[in-house]
Amino acid sequence: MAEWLTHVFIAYALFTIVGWSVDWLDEKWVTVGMVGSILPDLNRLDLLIDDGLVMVLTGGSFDWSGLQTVGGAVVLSAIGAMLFGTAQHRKRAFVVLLSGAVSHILVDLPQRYADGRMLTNVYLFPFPPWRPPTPGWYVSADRWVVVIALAVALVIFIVDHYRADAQPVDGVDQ
Amino acid sequence: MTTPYRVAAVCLLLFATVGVCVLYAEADQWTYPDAAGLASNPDHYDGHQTLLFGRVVSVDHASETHRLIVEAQDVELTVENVPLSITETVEQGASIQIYGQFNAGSRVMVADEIVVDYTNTADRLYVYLSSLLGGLVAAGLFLWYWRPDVRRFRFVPRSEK
Repeated sequence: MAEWLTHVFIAYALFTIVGWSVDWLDEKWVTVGMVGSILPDLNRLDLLIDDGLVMVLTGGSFDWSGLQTVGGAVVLSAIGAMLFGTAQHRKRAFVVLLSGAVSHILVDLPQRYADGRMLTNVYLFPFPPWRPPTPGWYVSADRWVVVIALAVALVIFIVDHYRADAQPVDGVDQ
Repeated sequence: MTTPYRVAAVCLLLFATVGVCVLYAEADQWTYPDAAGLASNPDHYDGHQTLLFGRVVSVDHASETHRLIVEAQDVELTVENVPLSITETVEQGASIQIYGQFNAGSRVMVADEIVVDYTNTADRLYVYLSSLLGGLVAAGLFLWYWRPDVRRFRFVPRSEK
């Protein structure tokens, strides 16, 4: 996994760009997408509550890695969506949270693995395992990854504010 | 949807989340044997290629074959054929991936390829701290635009009264 700062910067950039053509996707929904981009890494709850402890408590198999999958992203996004009051907000929240989670998975895909293949067998669950070759661009601890993500986010931030300044104000069209 | 229905939906979805983790644990998403499998049934996996994720317990600088002792799933394994560039840089506690062939007789993994995820504690600390910062940025910006309405169990845009 890339660290969360990278995921949050990339999500900011992606949702801001999409917001240029989707009217309702304003800053407040961009922040929902940024939260969505860290949902798959809730599997790191295993640092607080070990898989083994849950297995002892439940008496069965359990692996927090299930959260770092398409299936996990869908249920976590649905939980997040239920925390919004109106039907319209819930629909938007689900779409944006799930898109953020998918962006997380896409950013994680080109990481380096020793057998030269992507970790799609994990991410695609509950779909059948499939592992295409990975370009192996980075590992989690590579510092340059967050530098690139920050640079992209800054460029989009500047362009977004330039666009906002260039928008004609209602009734004062020039 | 009224607040009680949403609370009930969240409870049901939390059960579904646990269900996903249970189903994932029971699904066989890997084509390789894991470390626990190698330890419990070594003869069966003799000569098998596998991918393991583990932590470096010690580095054998004296060995001519450049060895590492690695712990994966509470199983200690010796890894041979480790590149010098790795034995010279990794420290105890480093996180690595090993792709190689398992030899049941000597309980050794002969590495074809090794990827170092965390070379040392500083790498791990960097990932954890930058993740914490990322979480704070996301949560902070979210709460800048949304306020929690605890009584009605929902988030409301701060621009709305």
